[in-house]
Amino acid sequence: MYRYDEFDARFVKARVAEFRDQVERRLTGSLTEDEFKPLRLMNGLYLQLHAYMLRVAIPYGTISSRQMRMLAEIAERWDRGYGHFTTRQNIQFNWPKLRDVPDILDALASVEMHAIQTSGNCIRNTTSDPLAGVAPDEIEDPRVTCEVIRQWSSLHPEFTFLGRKFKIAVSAAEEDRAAVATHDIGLYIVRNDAGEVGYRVLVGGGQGRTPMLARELRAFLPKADLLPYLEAALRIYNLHGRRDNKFKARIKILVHELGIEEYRRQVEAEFARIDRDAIAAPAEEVSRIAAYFAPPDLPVRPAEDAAFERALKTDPAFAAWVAQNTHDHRAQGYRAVTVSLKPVGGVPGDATAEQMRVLADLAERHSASELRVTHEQNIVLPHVALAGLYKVFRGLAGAGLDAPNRGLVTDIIACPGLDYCALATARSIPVAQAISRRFADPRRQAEIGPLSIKISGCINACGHHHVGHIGILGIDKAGVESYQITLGGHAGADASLGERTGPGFAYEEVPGVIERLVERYLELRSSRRETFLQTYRRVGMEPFREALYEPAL
Amino acid sequence: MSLLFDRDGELANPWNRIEGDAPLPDGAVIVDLERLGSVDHAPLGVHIPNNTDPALLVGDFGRIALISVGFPGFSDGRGFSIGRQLRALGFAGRLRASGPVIVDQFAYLLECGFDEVEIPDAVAERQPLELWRAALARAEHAYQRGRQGARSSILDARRARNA
Amino acid sequence: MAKAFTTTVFAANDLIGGDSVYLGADAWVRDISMAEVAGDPAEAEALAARAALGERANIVVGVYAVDVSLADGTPWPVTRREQIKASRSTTIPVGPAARLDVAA
Repeated sequence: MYRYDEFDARFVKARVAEFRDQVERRLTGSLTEDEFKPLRLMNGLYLQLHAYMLRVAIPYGTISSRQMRMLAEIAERWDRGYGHFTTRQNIQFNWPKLRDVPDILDALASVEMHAIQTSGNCIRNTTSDPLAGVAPDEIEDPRVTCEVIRQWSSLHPEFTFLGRKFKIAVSAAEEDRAAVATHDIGLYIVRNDAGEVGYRVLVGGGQGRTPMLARELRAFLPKADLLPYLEAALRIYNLHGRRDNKFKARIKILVHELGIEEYRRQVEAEFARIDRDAIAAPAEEVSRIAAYFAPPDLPVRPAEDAAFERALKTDPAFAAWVAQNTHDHRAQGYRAVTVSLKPVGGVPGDATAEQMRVLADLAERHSASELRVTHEQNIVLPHVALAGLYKVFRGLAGAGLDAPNRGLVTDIIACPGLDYCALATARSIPVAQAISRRFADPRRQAEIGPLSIKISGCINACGHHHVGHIGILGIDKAGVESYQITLGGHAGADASLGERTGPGFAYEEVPGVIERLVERYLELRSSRRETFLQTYRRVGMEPFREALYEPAL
Repeated sequence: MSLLFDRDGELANPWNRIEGDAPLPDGAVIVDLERLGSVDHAPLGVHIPNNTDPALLVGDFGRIALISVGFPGFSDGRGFSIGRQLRALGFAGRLRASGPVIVDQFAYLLECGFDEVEIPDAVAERQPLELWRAALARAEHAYQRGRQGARSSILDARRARNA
Repeated sequence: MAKAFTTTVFAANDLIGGDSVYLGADAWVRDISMAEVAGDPAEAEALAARAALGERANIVVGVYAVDVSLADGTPWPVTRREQIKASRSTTIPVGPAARLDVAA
């Protein structure tokens, strides 16, 4: 994975020194809260319902054992012993004090981490496929592009005071595991007819109160043109994106109002005028970065392992976990492991300091000291040998991290909701917990099969409910929490936005509502192989609506 | 009143900002964009709000010595792109950022092509010149290449290291 | 139509610590039961003016009025959001506490 050179290190240190100075200036009144707020946000610091919240970047979701241990230390030393992994491959600490934050940032800098641009109206952490560099179906490691973008977008002089936040995702695989179409700019690494590798560029995706899937801006962009083209696209947005209404300020609204053709015309005109050589990452710089993402030096392994096969036969819990939570690795004799942060009844995405250390240790011993954070709020150990899988499983089980539920009904995404968030209008986490308890039986989960439930505690849609197979949106209805249900959303390559079933439900009703939807699906599916999403796409909304609003007598 | 400075410190302001159709005094004047076409004067400057298309000014570059770009609030970053575009279009005169910007934006302004900054007194009271100098001194390196960078480019530094 | 007046207290967050705080008789307090209650618009205006001083003095940020009901003279928020804020914690065990809860 990428390692800082002396320039990266100095850059991050200077940024911490700057923030320390900004905090000082805030405390002395030289900076007003109005002036300080965007500055602290650009360093990942929010003021939430109960406390400040610090969001730390985990660039494109890749993190080392050493870094994970530092997160554990921060959780214990400056927070309440845990952290929350987010849907954008970051981690949040929920209880830091303002006066401690510069020290926390220093601690992060010591392990080559930062909180730069994890919030604010700027270019956010570029997200990617959690199986980057591992998955057999990818053209190249998308993290090279992500790191090029990370550096280019860090404290960009022109794009640090945009009209609104700006999110970029990159995928290089056949299967889209990065929800590319829901980003302000989405990049698919593709091969053109001539066999050259470049980018298919999408623009204008986003969730929030006006969900839209991104449109194609360029079918093929040569690799060398990436940064100049992004500058052109961002410049048109910076100049012409709406600034009169926060809720209409994302690029998706600009693209929608101009039309994709007109937006494209303006971007291409700007791109034609740009001094590309001055902006493009030099080829030797791209190779320098790419060298860090060379596949790890994994020992050559046989395709099969006898002890592993034995464990599969003797320990059914292990077999179930392997079947559900491991993924093919391009190296023979290895698997990528998804560690579920969704134990039954748990808080989706939360990990205690102790669990972080267990993960760090297991990665160090069994996964080339590397981990990934997924946008589903889980952790991946990307390089585990078959021979080590059982030890990893036992180690995870000892820390309550062995839920065999990746992609199943209890693998729920939830935003922090009203329990933490200053913007939320309803609770999310307790809803997720209640649903998870309702479907606790692992055999029942396996029977139901792939099903993504995503819960947002307000219209801003941080819980990605628009792209949940079942989406749940909590709103405030005259002081009472009410939950609207959407069906048929999906975040993959064939992305779709969910459709609302009808009137909302009370907090207590939600688990029962989900159960009725699931029961109806089980009745409707054409075979055990037809997933919830496939069934919904085949039969449509009506049968599900009946299940919710006209219960059988 | 306002405080005017560049990277080297405070500047005397020889420019008279002329509102609307007020008569033009001798000496350097800055007029509104609407008036630019009908004015024959030197030295001539123009003030543009941050929703102006810089391409409209290209024909006048030869007779404009200064362009002042309005920053209505520090969080409205359109002016940064306008600075970049004016330079890309070939404007070689003096470029001024005018409005309540903050010290943390000084390096960015310089890198987007601005030469000088004019802030209202109310901002200058809380953010005196020393703070602007200190912010610039602290901003060491940038990952991008600025036009007349306050920060030196990491790309160039890496190239030099590897040479 | 003007909204009927509801008894209110003034909430904010402590600038340095970030904790939720309420305007008390002579200081910002963490316990809402110690908050000064405005019983009519004039009292609310006076409290708002005092609260604004706290903001200007860089003691607190984000001052706003919270509707409360009174039980034996003790204020408690009306809305779920403000109840959670006033309780100074989440509605669920979290972090290491959550793990103890699962184990229990």
